[in-house]
Amino acid sequence: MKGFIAKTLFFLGVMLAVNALLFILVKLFYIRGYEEVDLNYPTYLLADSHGMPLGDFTEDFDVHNFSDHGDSYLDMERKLKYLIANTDVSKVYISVDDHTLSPYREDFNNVDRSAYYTELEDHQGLFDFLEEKYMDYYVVFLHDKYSLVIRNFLEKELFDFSKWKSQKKTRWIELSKEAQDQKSISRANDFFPGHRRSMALTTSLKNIISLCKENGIELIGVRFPLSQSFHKVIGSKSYRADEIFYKEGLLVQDYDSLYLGQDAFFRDQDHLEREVGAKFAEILFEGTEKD
Amino acid sequence: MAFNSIDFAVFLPIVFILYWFVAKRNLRAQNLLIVMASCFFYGMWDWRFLALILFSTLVDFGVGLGLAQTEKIHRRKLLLWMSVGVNLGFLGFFKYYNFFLDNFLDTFSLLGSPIQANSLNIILPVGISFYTFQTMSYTIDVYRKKLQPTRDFIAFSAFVSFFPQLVAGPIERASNLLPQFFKERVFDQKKAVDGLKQILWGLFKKMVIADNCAQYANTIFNNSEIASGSMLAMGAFFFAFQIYGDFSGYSDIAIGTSRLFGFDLMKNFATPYFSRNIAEFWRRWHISLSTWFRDYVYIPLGGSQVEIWPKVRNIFIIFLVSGFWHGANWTFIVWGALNAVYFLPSLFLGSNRKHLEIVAQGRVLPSFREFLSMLATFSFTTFAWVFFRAENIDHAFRFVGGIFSTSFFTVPNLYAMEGSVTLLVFIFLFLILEWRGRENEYAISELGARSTRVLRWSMYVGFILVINIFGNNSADIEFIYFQF
Repeated sequence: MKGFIAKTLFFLGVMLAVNALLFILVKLFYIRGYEEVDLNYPTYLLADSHGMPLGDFTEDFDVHNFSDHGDSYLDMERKLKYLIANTDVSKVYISVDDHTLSPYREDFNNVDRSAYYTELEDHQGLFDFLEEKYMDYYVVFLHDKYSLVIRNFLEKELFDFSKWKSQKKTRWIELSKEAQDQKSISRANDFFPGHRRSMALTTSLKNIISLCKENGIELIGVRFPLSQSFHKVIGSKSYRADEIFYKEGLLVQDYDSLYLGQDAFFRDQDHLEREVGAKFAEILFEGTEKD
Repeated sequence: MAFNSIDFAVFLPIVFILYWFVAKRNLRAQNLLIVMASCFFYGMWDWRFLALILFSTLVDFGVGLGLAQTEKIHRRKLLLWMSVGVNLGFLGFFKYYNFFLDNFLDTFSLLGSPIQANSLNIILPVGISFYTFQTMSYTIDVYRKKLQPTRDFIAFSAFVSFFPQLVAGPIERASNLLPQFFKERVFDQKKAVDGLKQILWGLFKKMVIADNCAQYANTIFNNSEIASGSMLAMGAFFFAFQIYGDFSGYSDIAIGTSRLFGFDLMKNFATPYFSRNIAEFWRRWHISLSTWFRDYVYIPLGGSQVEIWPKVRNIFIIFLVSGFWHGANWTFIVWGALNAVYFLPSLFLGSNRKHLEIVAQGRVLPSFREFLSMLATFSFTTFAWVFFRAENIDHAFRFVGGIFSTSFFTVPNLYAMEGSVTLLVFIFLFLILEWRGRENEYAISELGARSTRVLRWSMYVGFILVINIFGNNSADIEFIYFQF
């Protein structure tokens, strides 16, 4: 029995070493810069992937871009609390697009990564805190999303035979109208699965508004530019995050029609090209200054 | 508590430590611990149905004692029927009440005199079909004087509720499992390591093969109206591997877990998809149920020792009852009937006792003839699985109709189903491992046996990684046989 226990413990040790190796991979390919934030700015931009094309261009206007792909209000709330605790933040730009209160965003978010920005008081209890911030974070084997990341990476490298063919990535402007509409419909189906908005995200957005009020932070809503095709496809579909802002008397800068008909500015149906990010940053932040 | 849950990963080591360190060398304490652990394990699903297991245990324990005290044949028969009545009564009420009621009402409607009655909202207790059959095997064996009744209630309770096989088998014979509860258990490291390996293999089958196949099979079966014939055939193919991986995976985990506690359960699957005819398939698929029906239904009916037509009748009875055992739906009955029809040629030709040995024994590859026989048997079996999986008979026939359409000859658009190509690669690797280990207790039992420890451990780590990375962790994919 002693031998069995010793061997089992040794095997667990091997598994821990494997876990450490996998964590390094996950850190390199998935967590990446999510935990990097410059705490010396007075203004921050909190958005999902729509904020990404703005990149570092925001810094020309003394704004730090704290956005990330798939960030939800749950993640932004955590980031905001972190900023409040660690910086002298005075102004926050936050996305209030049609989809930001979608149940889709509640399902696909970054709560696993944004746990990094939490403290004990942000959790229901010590166990919840330890589990989310440390166990789920460091033990790769317990984390479904990490497995998915590694799986997607391997599948792309090993089993995606289509990549062996030479494929030129088609730009949005080069797609036919039908192809654009098809992509827009597909994205809209993801974003708008039903009529009801996510209660968890709504609560989180309201928390963000309260936090900003309590801490004297100016909060400005941003609606990012959409392509003509996507704008037409979603029509009046919206979970109306901006409405909450209006009700609270907060400013919303609505740019969703800014580049209608200028397909060359878009990477896909609802994301700007990186080069256009610089131009948009100027409009977004200088426009605000003028207002 | 499912075997592939974190709960079980915590539960198992705790029970293991208590069993070997706290209750060590005390048989009664170990049995009591098994009963308590089993109650906890089952109670995690629904503690209310523990009362049902307890009642079944009390009845069969009492019947066993009653049988020991009397030699009068009518009294013995009465006691036996009491046990059978209680067990089948529970099964009938919880599993079949609504089925019979609905069909009764439908019949009256068809005859033009519709009557009103409400179905009951009955929850099916997990594993009821398994533990009722297991306890019945006890009373039948005691009645037949093949087994001495036990007077140890704790040991008997442990036999009925033994958590590794409580909810989905293998359906153990009392004559095999019960005596093990009276033997002093000595920790056997080789057996325990082997048990862990079998658990690992079971998890691979369940999480990598079955649960991923389930994802595609469900998509195709749920959208069968718009799928091409070739895609429907792929749906049936994926379901064939889903059900095999799911159920045999569960059995492997059950057997492996039992080994950790010093118990040997019977083998439940023996590479059935390498069978050369249907008779061989049924000797290799869900062995514990097939042999249960053989011993307690088929042989009492006369088995194969009768004329050809009674033999045909017996075959149909066995397969129809087996189909009905799986669930209260006509789809299962048709599935059973279809298998009976498949069985008939070998019965008429007298080849049903052919292929008792494993295919290509001692050879690396099968002959071309063997390969074709296996392929044909697999195809027939997969075709029958369509009825097993379909929502209802109408769905099954529409599905089958869809397969036999011109679109069967189109290339299935697997790229539209993300990850399906990866899964096909895993199914291929799985079949290679199964083929390689077909003569062993389970596929990987001898894999790496002659290698160095470093290589062996690397292999185990590899399996764990594959299960973790490619395993499907969807909480909504339960073990299929839990519903039976």
